[in-house]
Amino acid sequence: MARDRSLSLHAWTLLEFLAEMSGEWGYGYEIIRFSGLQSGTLYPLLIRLEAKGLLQAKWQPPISPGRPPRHAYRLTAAGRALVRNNEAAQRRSPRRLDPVPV
Amino acid sequence: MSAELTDIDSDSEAVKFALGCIWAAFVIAGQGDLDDLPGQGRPLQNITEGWRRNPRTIGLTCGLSSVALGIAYLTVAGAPFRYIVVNFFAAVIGVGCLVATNKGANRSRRMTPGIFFGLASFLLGATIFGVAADGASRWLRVGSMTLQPSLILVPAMVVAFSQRRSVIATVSIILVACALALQPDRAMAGVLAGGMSFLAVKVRDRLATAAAGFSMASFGVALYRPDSLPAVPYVDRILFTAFDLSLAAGCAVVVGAGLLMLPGLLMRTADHEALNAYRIHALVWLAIVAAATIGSYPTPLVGYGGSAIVGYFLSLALLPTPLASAAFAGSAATNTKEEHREDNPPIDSVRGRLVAVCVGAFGIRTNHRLATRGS
Repeated sequence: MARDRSLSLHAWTLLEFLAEMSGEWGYGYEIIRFSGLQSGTLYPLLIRLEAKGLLQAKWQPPISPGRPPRHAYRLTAAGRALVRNNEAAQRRSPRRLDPVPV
Repeated sequence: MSAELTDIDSDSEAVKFALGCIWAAFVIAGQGDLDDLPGQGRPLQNITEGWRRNPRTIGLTCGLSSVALGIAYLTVAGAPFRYIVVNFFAAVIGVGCLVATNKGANRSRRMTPGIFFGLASFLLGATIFGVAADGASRWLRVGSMTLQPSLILVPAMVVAFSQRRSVIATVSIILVACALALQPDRAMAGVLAGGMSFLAVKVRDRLATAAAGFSMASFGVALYRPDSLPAVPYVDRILFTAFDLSLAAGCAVVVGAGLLMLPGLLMRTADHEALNAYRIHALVWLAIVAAATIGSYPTPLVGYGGSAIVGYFLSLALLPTPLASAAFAGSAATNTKEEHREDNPPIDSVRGRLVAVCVGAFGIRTNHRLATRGS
């Protein structure tokens, strides 16, 4: 299957990062810290990808009293399938060989 | 986003995260494809969907962000603590007025002719009997605080006039123009002239044209009269002086000032009356920021000064909601006899006024106590 060209590079970065989390829930700032995406880019992306059915979101209870609950995200089955298909498509793409020196 | 912010230990990372979130909020508002999504059961989209449809919600976000950035600047600049407290409580009062008047999604924001005339008379009275300094008479003293009534009232009156014009409202605008020429206040006279001129071009009715004509004349008189007030620290010219502190402080002030125009610019509707109101709102606050850039006039919301903060939220309270405006598309704004009272009671409902007065009184009382404690 060909790569979904409607998704931006940032969207793919996010999807691939969440795929590496192997089904664990990820928080916004955690994603920002380890994926390199900025908050201004991330949150609109999360909404858009959730709308497409590639992510699911859930309010998580606070880890300590007095803290507000946080929104956490992880890939849906469709999101995981999309990332797997993209990786497979990239492996099948022909590589450009370096010219052999003479 | 705010929940994430509390978990960030580093201050600089938190500021960077917060600024990114402000940008994210506006990007989300601009994402048109969210209209096609079912909002049920999706709390994040329900919030953004509602946020996009209500100019007061966008304005609340922008206004509070501006106040926060202003408080950050005042802190870094070493302003007296009571300046920060005054700005904070002015925001509380402003938000209280906004919440008190925000009753339901199907209410257009209209100021009755009686209120128009009352406010204009009050402004003229403040000019004649108020506090004068260096040849300018623009202020009122309330306890230990000095207010600038034109900053509180003129933006709101311009936004209200853009939606509903009557003979009494037009006379009121003329009285305001006279007051601003008498003070003299070049900035607010320019704001009034700009707003009325824009409206006259858009609606092309006699009342708007008359208001524009008198406003332009008032602006001319204000420009002619000398205005030699020096810049006040933390109030005037901070769009430049903030950069002397640091690039971050300067950017915070510029971004905070720029946010004020966004509610009027981001809203889109097929209803021309509502669209005029939104654009005029943006124009008014752009003009106030421009005046602060050019001359020694208060920089709204990001500088010290509660009047502009209250004025901003008050002008937001008078913006129409698109759904209500679309329901009355095509109705003549100058027809005073066609009152849609069942669905659109005027802003001066008794309950709204009482809540606004109580909130305002509490805020002024608290403000006064803190101000005298700090002096």
